[in-house]
Amino acid sequence: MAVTLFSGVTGVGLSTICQAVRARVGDEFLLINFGDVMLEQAATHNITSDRQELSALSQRQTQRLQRRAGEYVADKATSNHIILSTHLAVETEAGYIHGLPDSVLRDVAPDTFVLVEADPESIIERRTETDSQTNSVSEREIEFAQQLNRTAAFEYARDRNAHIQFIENENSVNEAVEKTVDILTDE
Amino acid sequence: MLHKLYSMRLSETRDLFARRLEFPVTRETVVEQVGSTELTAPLGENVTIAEILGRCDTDEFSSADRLYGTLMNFVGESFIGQKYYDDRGGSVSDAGDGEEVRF
Repeated sequence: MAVTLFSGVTGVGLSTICQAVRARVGDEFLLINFGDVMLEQAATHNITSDRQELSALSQRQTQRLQRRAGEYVADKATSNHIILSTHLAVETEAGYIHGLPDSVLRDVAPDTFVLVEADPESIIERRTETDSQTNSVSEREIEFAQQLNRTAAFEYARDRNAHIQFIENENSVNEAVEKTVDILTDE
Repeated sequence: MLHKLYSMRLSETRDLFARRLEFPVTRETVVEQVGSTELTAPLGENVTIAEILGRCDTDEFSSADRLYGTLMNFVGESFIGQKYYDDRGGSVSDAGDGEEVRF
């Protein structure tokens, strides 16, 4: 069944859109947050049960958790259309890396990539509203991260012969949700 | 009285919350709407969402992220494994191989 992968930088409203969309579609759909599955695995192995502490993992640890999460998505996709929320570009101490290594991309096998974007200024405002402890980040850095998401999506879409859809979450979240529901139900 | 109607993995509650809850949501409403859902514990006895939320003091959850985070914090030892335990024959941990990742 179809896997639709949603991605966007923190503060763009990705979780809100994915949840609202899931509430609007039928029981054949399943919403999966890739980070939730990784965190569940990390807890089972007593690595951490704190999402923030995932940032302290080595790249190899992260990739192993990603692989297991990818297998889980592949398993669920045999019986459900998947709404998958994840990062396409992951920030590390050494710089950004691919969010979906080759083996994970093969398991997840997205049919469509949906990139959710907003103005960097809006994203900074949303981050500040939801977490006053958030590290300061410039509009240019957010612009850079969004551009990396586009590049990663294009690369993955080429490998999977998949499509890319663009959702703007700037003025009305309802409009963004409506457009996203159309994308899912047209497939 | 709560009736145990559903059983699922912890990570599957994200879908449950999207289908059944509107945020912000009170703990009372969460218990009423999905409290009877039983979470499958990988390392021990299963537990319901109501039982987990009974261990915390939070009265209201502003988002699904907050609610999921609370479940993670209070699920208990049947969801938390042995350090570096791997059910597939290797170690998930690779302490010391350097590069750290930020989410």
